[in-house]
Amino acid sequence: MARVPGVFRGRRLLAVGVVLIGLVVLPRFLTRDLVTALFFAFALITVALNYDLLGGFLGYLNLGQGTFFGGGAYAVFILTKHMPGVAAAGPLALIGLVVVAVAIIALFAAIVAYPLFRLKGAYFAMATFGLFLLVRQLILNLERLTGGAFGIYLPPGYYVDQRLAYWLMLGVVTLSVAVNYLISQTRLGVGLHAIRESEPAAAAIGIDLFRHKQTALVISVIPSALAGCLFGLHFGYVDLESVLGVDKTLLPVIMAMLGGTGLVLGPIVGGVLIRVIDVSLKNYLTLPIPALGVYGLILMVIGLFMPEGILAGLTRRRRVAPRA
Amino acid sequence: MSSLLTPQILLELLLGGISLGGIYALMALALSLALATTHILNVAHGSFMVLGAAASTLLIKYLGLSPVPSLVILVAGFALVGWVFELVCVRPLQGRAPDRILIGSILITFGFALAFEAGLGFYWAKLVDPQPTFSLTLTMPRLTLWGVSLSGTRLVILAFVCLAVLVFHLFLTKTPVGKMARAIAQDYEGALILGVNPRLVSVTIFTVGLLATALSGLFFILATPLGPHDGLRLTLVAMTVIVIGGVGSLPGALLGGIVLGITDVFTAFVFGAVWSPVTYVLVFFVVLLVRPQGLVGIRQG
Amino acid sequence: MLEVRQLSVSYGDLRALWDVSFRVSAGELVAIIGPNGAGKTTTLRAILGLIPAAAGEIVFNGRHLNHEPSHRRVREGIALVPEGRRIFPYMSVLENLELAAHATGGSRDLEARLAQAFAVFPILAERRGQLAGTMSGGEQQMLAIGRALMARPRLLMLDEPSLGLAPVVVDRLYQTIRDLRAQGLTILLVEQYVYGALELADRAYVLEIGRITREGEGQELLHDDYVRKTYLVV
Repeated sequence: MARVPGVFRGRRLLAVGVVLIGLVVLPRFLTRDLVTALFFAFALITVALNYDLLGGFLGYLNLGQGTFFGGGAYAVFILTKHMPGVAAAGPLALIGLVVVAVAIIALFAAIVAYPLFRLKGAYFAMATFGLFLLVRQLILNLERLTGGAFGIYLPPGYYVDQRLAYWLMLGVVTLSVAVNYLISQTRLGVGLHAIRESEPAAAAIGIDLFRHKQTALVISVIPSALAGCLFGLHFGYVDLESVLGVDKTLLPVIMAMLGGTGLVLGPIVGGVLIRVIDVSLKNYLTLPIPALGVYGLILMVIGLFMPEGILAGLTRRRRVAPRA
Repeated sequence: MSSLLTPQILLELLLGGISLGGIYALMALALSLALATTHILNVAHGSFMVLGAAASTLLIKYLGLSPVPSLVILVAGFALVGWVFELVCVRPLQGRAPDRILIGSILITFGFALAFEAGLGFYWAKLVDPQPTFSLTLTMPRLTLWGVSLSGTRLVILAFVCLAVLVFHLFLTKTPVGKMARAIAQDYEGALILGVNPRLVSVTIFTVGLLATALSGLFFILATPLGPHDGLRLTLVAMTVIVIGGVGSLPGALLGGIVLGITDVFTAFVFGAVWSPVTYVLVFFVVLLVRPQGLVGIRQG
Repeated sequence: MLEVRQLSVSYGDLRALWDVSFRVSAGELVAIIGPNGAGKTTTLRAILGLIPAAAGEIVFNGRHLNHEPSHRRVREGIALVPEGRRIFPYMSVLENLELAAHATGGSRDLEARLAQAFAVFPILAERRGQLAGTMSGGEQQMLAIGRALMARPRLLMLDEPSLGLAPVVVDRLYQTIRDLRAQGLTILLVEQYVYGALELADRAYVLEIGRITREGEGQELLHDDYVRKTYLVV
């Protein structure tokens, strides 16, 4: 990748700052529904960005990123439910529980990395989806711990109110952007890129393949789990469909693919597009098939006609134009 | 434990496990042949089993057609569907670089599976039955051998599996297209050099494979009902079988399928049916940790 | 019979062939010689359509082949005996041969084609049931050529047939090539075994770093100073 001249860097930083400040003050001017819609969008874009750390940077298709989102939500709810004394001790204790929940998910990711990264390509993709289904089934079966099909409801005292939840989720999505950007600038990012290009070649120059992949997975699940915790705490309940629905693990993939994987901006562009489509589908159109089916069709169209995503298509056109 | 394991029950469980596993093996074989010959992973593979289950339920149970004409219609219909699927979802990927084929195929077939499941569930609930389940009953007398009685339905399923596996075997070893398919799976470019037409192989493998998969859906629901959203789970089962048995291997698929089928049945017997789905993924991960190359040996694409 | 005009081929950003032009007339034995990595195999791959031509034309018996898929080119009558032979090791000798006939629409006169291949290589008839991967290198090369003949080609392309074989086996192989040519088969031979190829060839081309640098009659090139100095080490 070519070095970015300092001027552009400064200008880019300025643009990011302006957008951020705009997003911070935005809730003042919006209805509650729109703020919730944005909150929802931030959560999914976070997972999409995290997905792209493996999917785009490393070239490993992780169809189970939603596992860590839902897992985070369930972890904090299970802790809160089974240790009511701790949770009631105040906001600081609640933050402590969130930290513990995220740590549990990170550890879980570090462990599942061992079987998962024995696979490549299609097998890896399906195994990650299998992991997602496994966690769903376990939550359904372990009723005493997880509430089974009913889910877990918290007393209203624990809810995170809307404005605060919005700002925190904005923080998480910003963190994810920062993580992706920083990784693309570090040795870890270079290593991941090398692995994507050719694993034997990467191994030959001394890159520890498994450590790199495992580290990338663990880093990628932390913001996802954090977003899951926040998502659950804002709405006050978790159940399988709300935090571990198939859409939670697939929409991020669709977003990243639509925007263009391997680019920091890709999942954001795709995410915004999908959210716009989603909101208009639900509110303004009557559908012949359920929303998940429409996403399926979108996925097919991406696969058939623009396998590299919208951004890649645009930049290629721009790059080709002056030469022609 | 819910009840005692008598020899009679043990035998029933084994028969159940082997007939279930046989269906899995058949489905997995079709998936892995497609993967080996075209490098396309058909994530929607399990959805075709669901399609078979739904179509046969509709024809036999709701429209009241008798089995023989139904079977003729279903075979023709499934073959047509397989052919169209190849044309729309597989053909456009040919000619892309191998890693692009893989990602493209996952996107397209995953999308297809989602759209299919959503559409089927929605319209079945709207037009046929608000609680969509696909199942058929076959009244068969029990067969008594040496003092133990065996479920006639299970034996019918087993007979179907044996017949289908035999047909697959003959197809691969005796027919020209079958030989070309094996050649292309062993060495893609080496086969092209001989003049093998990859499109002919691709369309044949998908048509035959999806026909077999959809038919196995019909036989599957004689014993176990299916719902519109079971497709992706079934694909996962097929992939587990492939991980155990290796890509494109018929004996490997049989071994993998039967291991899973028996695990399923015994888990359900000992811990209850809700734990069966868990075991598939666990077996999958355990095999990966113990023998990443699979029990028979695996060639990853 | 075969005419290649200004063929260019690239692997990604790497250009492998630059404006390569040559022709093979009916009944001729033409050799392409050159060092490793010069683009000889690439040329054959492009003729068969295994890699797309970036520019230039490939004309066979008056038909433009550039946009035809590989299997059609084989049916037109171009057969390749690839480098490294690429037989199917887990199939029997017979299956390897049958496959080539089936793939080119020769299922009906399968027996006649088999008889023809067995006439050239009697050992293949003896070994028909054996797994191809268990045969010796020389036998595998015979199978690879026999398999190419099953397609009833009009042009037989051989890519480094002598590679990895003992000298006495190479001699026998070259005798077979000579016989095939005597029967009227047109042959395009790509070799690093320059002496054998030039001795056999009617005409030959020298391919170096993706370009044709010399051409002439086989005997003529055999006595060419540059060729002698570079390739024959005298």
